[in-house]
Order: sequence, then C-alpha cells, then structure tokens
Amino acid sequence: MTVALPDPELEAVRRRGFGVAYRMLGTVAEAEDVAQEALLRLTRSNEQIEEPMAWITTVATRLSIDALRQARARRESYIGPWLPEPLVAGVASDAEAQVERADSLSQAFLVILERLTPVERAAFLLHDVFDYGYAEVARSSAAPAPTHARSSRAHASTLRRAGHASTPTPRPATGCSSGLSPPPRTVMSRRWKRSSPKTRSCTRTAAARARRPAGRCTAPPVSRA
Amino acid sequence: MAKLVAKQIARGPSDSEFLAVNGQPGRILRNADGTPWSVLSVDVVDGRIQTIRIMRNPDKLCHMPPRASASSEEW
Repeated sequence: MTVALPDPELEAVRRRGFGVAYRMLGTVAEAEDVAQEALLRLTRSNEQIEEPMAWITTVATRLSIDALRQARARRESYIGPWLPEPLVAGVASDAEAQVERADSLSQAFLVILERLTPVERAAFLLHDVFDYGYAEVARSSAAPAPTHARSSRAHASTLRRAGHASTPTPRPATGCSSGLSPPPRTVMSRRWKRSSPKTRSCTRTAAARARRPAGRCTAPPVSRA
Repeated sequence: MAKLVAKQIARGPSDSEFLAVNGQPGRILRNADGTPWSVLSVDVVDGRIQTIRIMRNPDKLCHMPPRASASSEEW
C-alpha cells in the first residue's frame, strides 16, 4: 500500500526529515537529499505506516548516519574547524519554518555535535531535541539502547557545559574557535609557566647565579697565581 | 600579486543584509552579481555575544539563492 498524504502534511513530514538530516549532517544539500530520499521511500513504501512523522525521522536518521560515515574522511581532511553550512531564514524560502526548534539549530550546537560519532549524534538528537525515549532511539538508529543511554547522558552534560541551550557559559579562556571546552586551566597554566620566557630567564639567572660563585671562587686563585 | 589582491578587495561585497542565521542574528554580504560573499553569524548567550563566525567557503554558501527575493516557494 502506498502512503497518500495531503500536501500540507507531506510538506510537514519532509520538513521534519530535513530538520533531522540538517542537524545530523550540517550541510544543506546533503540534508535535502536525505529528506527527499526518505520522502520517496515513505510514499513508495508497501507497508502500512501509521505515523509518517516518526517513520521519516527514523529513515532520515539512518540515511544521515550512512552519509556521515561516508563523509568522515572528507571532514577529517577539512582545513580548519569544520563548520556547518549556514542556514539563512528568508533565503531558503522560510528556513525557520522548515526546520522546527530553531534553538537547537545554532551553529555552536552543531559544531559541538561534530564531536560525536554518527550514532551518538543520532541518539543525542533524537533524545534531546526530538524528545524520543531511549527504546525508540535504539530502534531508530539501529544500535543497542545502552549505547544511546550512555552516550546521551555522557554527552548531554558535556554539550551543556560547552554552551548549548540556556546554560550560561564562561567565555573560553583559551579562545577555542570550535567551541570545544578548553583544557583544564591548571594544566594550561602549568604548561604556560614552563614555557614562558620569564620563568625561563628566571631559571637561567638562577643557574647562572649558582654557577657564578663557583666561577668567582676558582677565578681569583688563578689570577693570583 | 599586489594587483590581484587589489582586484579582490575592489571586487568585495557590494550588498549586505541582516538576517537570522541558524536562528541567531547574522548578516550576509553579497557580491555585485548577487552571489553570497560571506555569512556572518553571532552566537548570543544570555544577551551577550559568545562567538562570531564568518563563513566564506563558497562551497558552503552555494545553496543560497542569489537574493532573498529570488527564493522560490518550491525549494
């Protein structure tokens, strides 16, 4: 049986597919491809689909995971921090309406998502952005539930700390442009001290001072002799 | 070389527009022919600017139609 949906509903379903894929991939063209492919599969499906929204979320997620795995090499060789393609409201015909929940669309959020593996990313998005339960998340992204529970919980705190959602974040002292949390300050300051010219000159003068008395002690007898 | 740089600068953006970029305040600069030159976006957390990002990679801007008014409904 093919799924026949009225146009507005079909549009909403496609928008959902695009929303999932864009958050997964961070690129507009690939997200469009995924959304289109998922929609095609939906309309040509022979099964009885009761909830097209959930169905397209699942399919778009899985297609995005595949696309991310294929794109990994390309992203790893990308020069500089990998940033998502900007999605501009009003340009791509009312993009904000197309992609629901704009707060989870910010570039900072997407940049942080880049740190996750494809499956973790899917789990985090489905659970925290699209409000899916762990069991549904496991079904949607075809991985065991404990993985998702663990990764979601572990990363949720990391992501929040790194500036997602409403949590106020201190400005990163190290100026990480990628939005990653800076290394612990104690380690940094220790490293800095070790390498700072001031300390180096101090140790040098200390060493020189230590050497100097010895030199003076040995030098006068030589001159006297 | 200097000529090339001067030409690049002279060719710079000719048009700018303030828009929402990924749900945050931003600005798009366009070339004289309407193609995007760069997209600036600002991360605002608690009313303060946290990060400013400027995307100038043409490959990542090519999905934008030349002008906002040129966007088609069918997309």
